[in-house]
Amino acid sequence: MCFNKLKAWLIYGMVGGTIAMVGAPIEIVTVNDNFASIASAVGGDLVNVQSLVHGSRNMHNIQPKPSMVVKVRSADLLIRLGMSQDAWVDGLIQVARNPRLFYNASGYLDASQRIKKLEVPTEDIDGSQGDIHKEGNPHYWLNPLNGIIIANHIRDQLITIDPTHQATYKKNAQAFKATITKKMVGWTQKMASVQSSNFLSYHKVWAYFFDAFRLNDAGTLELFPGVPPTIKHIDQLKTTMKRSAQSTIILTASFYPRKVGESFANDTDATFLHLSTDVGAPGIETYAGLFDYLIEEITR
Amino acid sequence: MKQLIMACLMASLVSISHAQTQKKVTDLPNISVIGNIIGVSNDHQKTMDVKDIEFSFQHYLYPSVKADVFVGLHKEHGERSLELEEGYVTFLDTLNVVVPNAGLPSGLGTIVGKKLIGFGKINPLHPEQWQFVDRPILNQTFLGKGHGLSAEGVQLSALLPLPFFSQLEWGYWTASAHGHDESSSGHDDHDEAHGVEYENRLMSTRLWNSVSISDAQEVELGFNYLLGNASASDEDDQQAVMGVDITFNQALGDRTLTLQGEFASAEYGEEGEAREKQSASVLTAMIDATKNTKLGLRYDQLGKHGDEGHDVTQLAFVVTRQLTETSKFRLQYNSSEELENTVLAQFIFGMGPHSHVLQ
Repeated sequence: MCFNKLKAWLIYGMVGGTIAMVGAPIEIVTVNDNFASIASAVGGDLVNVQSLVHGSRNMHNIQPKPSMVVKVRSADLLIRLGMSQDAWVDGLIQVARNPRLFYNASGYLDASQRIKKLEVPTEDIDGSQGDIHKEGNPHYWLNPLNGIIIANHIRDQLITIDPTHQATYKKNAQAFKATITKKMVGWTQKMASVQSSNFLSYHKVWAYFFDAFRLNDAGTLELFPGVPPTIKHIDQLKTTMKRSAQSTIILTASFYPRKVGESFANDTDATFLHLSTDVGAPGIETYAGLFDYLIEEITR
Repeated sequence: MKQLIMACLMASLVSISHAQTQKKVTDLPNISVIGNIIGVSNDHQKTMDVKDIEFSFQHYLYPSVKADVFVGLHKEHGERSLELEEGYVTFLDTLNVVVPNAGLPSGLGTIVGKKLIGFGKINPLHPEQWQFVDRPILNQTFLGKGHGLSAEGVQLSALLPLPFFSQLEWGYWTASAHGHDESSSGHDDHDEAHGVEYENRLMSTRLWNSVSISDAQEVELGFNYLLGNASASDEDDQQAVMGVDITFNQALGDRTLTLQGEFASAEYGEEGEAREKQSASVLTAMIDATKNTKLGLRYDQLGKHGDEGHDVTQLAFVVTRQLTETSKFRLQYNSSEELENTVLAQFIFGMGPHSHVLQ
């Protein structure tokens, strides 16, 4: 009698637990709000997305915090930037000990894997060239078309984790692609007004953005990546820009110093813009919104 | 043994060099070299030494099993010696590696090998991770000279099922022979108090908690216990250290303010004498002054060991200039009534991929 009651309770418990698990959203943790926005678009109501870092930050300089481990330990899917730029995530995975997120497990997604990388070194590198990234330029999310590649990657991973809802993930990813593709037409038309300008940047943050909109990358204020600009190099750049018949626009990501770019702009009648490069910065709520903001600021 | 380690080092470096030249896909470990050059100036010492060269080898052996080996070439008393600083294997999901596909609960971590013991925030760190050139007096007195207290054994760790970060670590170890001397900070081995000397088995316990107050603020609280000669039947033959550490982190955009305090109380006997109590504390404040420059202040305090010796206090100022991601200059001034005022200069450089677990 007692045994039968216990058996019944166990069955009720298991069925109830299974229903609860089936109904529970997939927990996604992303390194920043760029990936969170894309993951939310693809996952819709079936996912719950949290990001570890908010706003416009240099992902290479993040100080990991133990509280991040709490998010990572219960995640079903972790989406990271990759390309050795968020190595601090490895420490979180190691402490969280969540087997779903171990390397190559179904819950581990390196968003850079399917991206066609720019500026991949073809020769041996060392510190004499500055802080060159051996895997190429890591700011790949700044090409909207790469956003579609990331969305498709997330779609595939979600289907692996939750195959019963594959139709929804496919539909959402398709809708995301349609939104970006449609907006890309408008963004490209707007950017045509600055197509002939010389674009200078403080650091090599904008390579994918320049590539997406066919902009003229005229160089960086840093002579070597990660090494503060030298007076001699700045003077040479000024001379080159003054000789050019085209206007100059200086882009500096908001987490880099603004003074050098501002002073350069004053001396050369250039336009200086100190811009956020990530979702989560004030006024930028979605991945598409990031490009609305950037293109509005650049073409203003 | 040293020749064997040296031969392995050379073979690895030659393999890496060959692989890099050939641009082949390899299964070689991540190999890095960290150099630590220290200059010291006080009334008794004016030196500039290549203090340490650390070689590290890091590699995943299995999806959830990682090996880390750190070999150090140290300079002590004018001579260089090669030492295994740490060499351990980390099992991230112990039960499911030992008994696969049995549906056992995940989350139990195990470290086997030689490791810096998890006591407080500073002892588990390698010199290139320290915020100051030297270690606090608390660590030098209670956790050994050199790079810190390391031992060989096993450590288990698990995250507690709480809504905040809470990790329990428990280790059982065999004490390693004492590391090299560290006389650069002005707190040398001529001081009256020699500090705790560990022998035989060690047992360590740490409960590490952290609560996020906001996106920009986090508080960590750690409770630590270390028992030396743990298998001895007589308490007088044992060394016991209890400690608390608290850390407050405030993010200021891409910059950080860190306030940290550690307090420890030790009970130990010196050279066969009965156990006496001694306490020590350290308070530090670190702030990013600019993107590449960090300023720091440290206050050290060491109490008397029973009725022996005298209280010691020291104030240290440090400025660190990060040259690149892997190299930095550091200038430190230690000021004390009881110890020598000392100027320390340091240059740390790194080559190759190198990582440490979140501490």
